[in-house]
Amino acid sequence: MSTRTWLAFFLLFSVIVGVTALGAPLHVIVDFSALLILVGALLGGTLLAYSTGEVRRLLRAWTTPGPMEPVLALGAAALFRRLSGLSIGAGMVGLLVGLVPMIANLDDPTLTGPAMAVAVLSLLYGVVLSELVFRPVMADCLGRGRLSPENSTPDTLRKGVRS
Amino acid sequence: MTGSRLFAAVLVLGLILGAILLNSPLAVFIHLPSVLLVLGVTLGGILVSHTPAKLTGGIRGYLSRGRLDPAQADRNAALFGQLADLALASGLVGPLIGIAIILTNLDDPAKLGPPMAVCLLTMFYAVVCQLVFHSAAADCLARKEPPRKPRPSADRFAWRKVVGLGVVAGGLVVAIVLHSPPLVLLHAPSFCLVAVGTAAGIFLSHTPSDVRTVLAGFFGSRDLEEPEAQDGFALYSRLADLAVEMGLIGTLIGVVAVLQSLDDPTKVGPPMAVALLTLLYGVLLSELVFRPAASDCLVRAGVTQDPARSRRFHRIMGLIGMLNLVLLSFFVILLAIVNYGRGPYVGPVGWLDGETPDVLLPELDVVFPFGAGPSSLLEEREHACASVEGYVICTEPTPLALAKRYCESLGGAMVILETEQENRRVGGLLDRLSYRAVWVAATDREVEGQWNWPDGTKLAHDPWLVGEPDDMGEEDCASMNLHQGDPHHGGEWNDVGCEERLGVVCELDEPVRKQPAEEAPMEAEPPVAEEGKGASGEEGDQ
Repeated sequence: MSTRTWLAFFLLFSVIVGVTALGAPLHVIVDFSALLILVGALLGGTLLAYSTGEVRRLLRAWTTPGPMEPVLALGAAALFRRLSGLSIGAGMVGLLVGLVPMIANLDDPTLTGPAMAVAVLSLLYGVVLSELVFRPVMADCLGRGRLSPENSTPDTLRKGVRS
Repeated sequence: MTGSRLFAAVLVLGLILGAILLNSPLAVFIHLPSVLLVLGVTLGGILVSHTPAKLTGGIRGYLSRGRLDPAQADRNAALFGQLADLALASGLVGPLIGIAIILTNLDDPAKLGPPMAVCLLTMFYAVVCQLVFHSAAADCLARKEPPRKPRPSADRFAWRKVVGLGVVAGGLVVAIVLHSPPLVLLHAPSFCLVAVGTAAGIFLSHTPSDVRTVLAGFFGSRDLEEPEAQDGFALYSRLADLAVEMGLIGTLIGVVAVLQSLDDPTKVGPPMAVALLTLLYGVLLSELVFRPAASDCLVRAGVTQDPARSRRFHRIMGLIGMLNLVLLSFFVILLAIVNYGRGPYVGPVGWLDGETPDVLLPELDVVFPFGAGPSSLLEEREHACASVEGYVICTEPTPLALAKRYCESLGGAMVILETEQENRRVGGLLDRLSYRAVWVAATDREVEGQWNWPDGTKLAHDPWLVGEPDDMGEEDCASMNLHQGDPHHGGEWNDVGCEERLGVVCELDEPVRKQPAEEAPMEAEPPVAEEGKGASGEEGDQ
């Protein structure tokens, strides 16, 4: 990973953590059940589609600085697109898991607060990972493979996985 | 930067600024952490995939004039498209963090307004950024190829489009008239923001001649060449996106303004409706006018829709939908909390020692629970109020204006303690009833240090606590019953800020009489209970 990538991730997370810290103690945005849903979905969903060796190969391709082979770039981009979809999906699942008990217990606000927190935080984790981590990384892979976004339709990405 | 683009940018920003100023002071919309979040996240996200050199190159390309090299234009469009996506994502992250923070201190729903407004500000900045980045992306694509000359040809006027637009408009009008008084759905400033904003915004990405060429062909019926059709499709799609974006901006401006005045829920309705109207206008324009026009261009050229483009659109719509889900659920929560205060009696509401007023004042004529009066927050909270011999004492912390209205709705006014004797009497009642401070109607708002009653008479006695009034940080209103652990200061005053929330003592023109115990319909609806009380009171007078 190049310095630029490290710098970018540092900027992303320090801004998010910093803005939170301005408003409240940091533990407010940590929720273990939301994290559990997310990690479970990411691990499970990836292992359903990829072997561990394949994942390691593609991740190593991304972390090695410099231009990427187009085929490898397509494969890595497909992996990150999949991860991005999975994390948004996990966020939605967490949101619903949180919302259902909340709506069932509307008459008792002491229970709605924590339930709502799970809902909101899992969506937050999902959005941050998908939109701010995996999608930019995907674009990075495509760029380093000298591929324009036009030829990164799901079809070509799928071809990249197979090759 | 060409003149038309500069003019369009100024016009769009001016419209947004105007809409802000119509609704709330500008200072509400300036919030540094939100700006930091949107900018930081967007910048961080783009650095993951682009070197700083590429970023500045893209911006320089947008600001330059003339045609762009096609490969370069594609790269720049991808860059700006990604920036727009990142901005939108940061606009979702901000509210989510904000809501998580708010959920940790849910005690007072009325205080949730300002922090919630801050969450929405992130979204507001994000949507504005997104509008700019989308325009830049569309601009790069539009400047890829040399301008095309309009093909003058014999062209029949397509009456079916006039009929189509007419049917859409007619159906809308009928539906609106059937549903509600039609004027409710007309709001000129909102419509102006969306329509003029959309019209101006298109010049951020297209030159006037491009726009003229495409619009002139709209009512024609001849088949289009493919490049011509793609131009038209791009322009109308951009218009459709712009309409939704302007609608979203208007809604956010409105909702932020609404949340500033959450302390009086009765006033929230109408401005909230206006806020949603902007989105309605935006969606109507986008989905019923511009998107059909865009697909019309493709149909006339016999081209199918570009799948990549439509996928992008759906992703954005998905994000916006999620955003709405978050907001909606949050408002449900808010409603639930506000209603929670009005729910069944769960414990003592500020009365001393957890007792009820009729136990605390056994020798007096006390009506408790006491609930009466239309259209106020207090009406449901009958356990927060008690009627004691011509006074109604409420311990529920309430804004001053609401307290005043509550007393008026009971057919009285906030108590005026003209004599030292009356002051002592009310203070004595408060000493025995509650540890919560209550409003005093006197203020020194007109002349600092000169305390007057609402009817204009001057304060004749000296009820102040030792060292008060000190006007510490602009305190122009007064409270009494500052308990301080010693229940013998009920009659002594302190000056407080007028924006505080305190209990209230009303003086009624006609005292409320106690009802016979068997008639007390505690679980009945408040209006019924009130009628019963009124009737029994009249009987008592006779």
